[in-house]
Amino acid sequence: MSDWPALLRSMEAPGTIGVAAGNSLVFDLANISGTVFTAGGVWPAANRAIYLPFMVEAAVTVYMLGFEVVTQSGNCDVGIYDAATSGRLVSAGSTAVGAAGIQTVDLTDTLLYPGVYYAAMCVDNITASFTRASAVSALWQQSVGVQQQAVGAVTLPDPATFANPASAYIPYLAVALKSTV
Amino acid sequence: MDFPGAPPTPLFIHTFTRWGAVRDVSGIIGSISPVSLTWPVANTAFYVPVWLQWPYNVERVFWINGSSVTSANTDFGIYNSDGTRIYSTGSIAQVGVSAFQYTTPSPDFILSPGRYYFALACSSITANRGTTGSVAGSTARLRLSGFLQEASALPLPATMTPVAVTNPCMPLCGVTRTTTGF
Repeated sequence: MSDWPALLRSMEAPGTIGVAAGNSLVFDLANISGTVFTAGGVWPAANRAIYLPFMVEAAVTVYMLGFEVVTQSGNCDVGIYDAATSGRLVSAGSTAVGAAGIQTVDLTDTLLYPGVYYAAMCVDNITASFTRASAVSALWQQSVGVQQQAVGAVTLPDPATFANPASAYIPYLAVALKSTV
Repeated sequence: MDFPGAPPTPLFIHTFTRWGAVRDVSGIIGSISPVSLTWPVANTAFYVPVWLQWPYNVERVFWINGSSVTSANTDFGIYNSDGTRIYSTGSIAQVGVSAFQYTTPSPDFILSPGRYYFALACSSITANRGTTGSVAGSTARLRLSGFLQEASALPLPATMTPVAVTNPCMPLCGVTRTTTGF
């Protein structure tokens, strides 16, 4: 085994870090509560950003973020934040919510070193709906670090100003570690 | 970053995360969701096994109060696997319904990789003044997952003298490496 620091290794083979994946800190909620992400729900508040924490254990490159649209409406923004600084590392900017089905949003390829990050999403209306979990209380979300922000616009801010979650709404966001999902 | 780089650690470690034994119980009985609890026996402590795979800097400890807090006191503690108390908050009046209640250890401290018990005791058996957690599961399943309890344990003792679980109580309590927020 090399003596070189582990942070320069690539993470072994995961294609994505989804909300219910092992590297997601939301995994604990989904796993213990038996929560499923199989139904759509409208975004809980216009221009609210939702921040979902995940952990990177070896350096990875992020290529895009994906989610599942149920009802198309308006615009969204997605991005990645550093939990240590609340700083925005990368985001797509305002993007039209796509037709029903999987939507992937390209990001500037971004190297993430070991650490804790947030996958973020903001939507400018409460008509658009996405596959999400609705059975996990806001208080329980807080216990793993889920956060939100009333942004006032669809574009994700830099830095984030975190607040505790107010809605039982966890969108299924997936951080893509490959350029094809 | 210091060479070779500290491993990343989660924002929170608590009894309902993958590092706590409530995860084991859910593996036996299925889904578990925390709710406002009525503490089963006044001044009884419940010890929940927790394990860490990396050093973890404890900046704050916490539990989540139930939907009533009047005249209720709580003590949160951490014990090593031999039952020796590493830290406890002491008996503290509950403040804030259905909300996190944090205490900041001074100084902060590091838990080395290993096995621990997170302990919580409560003085009140009035409805919903326990904490937030779950009573799902039988005592047998909690025993199979390593839970313990101790009577007359508020404040928490310097050394655990636990007995087998006779009340199915799984409090949500833990630690965070964050100094503010949440």
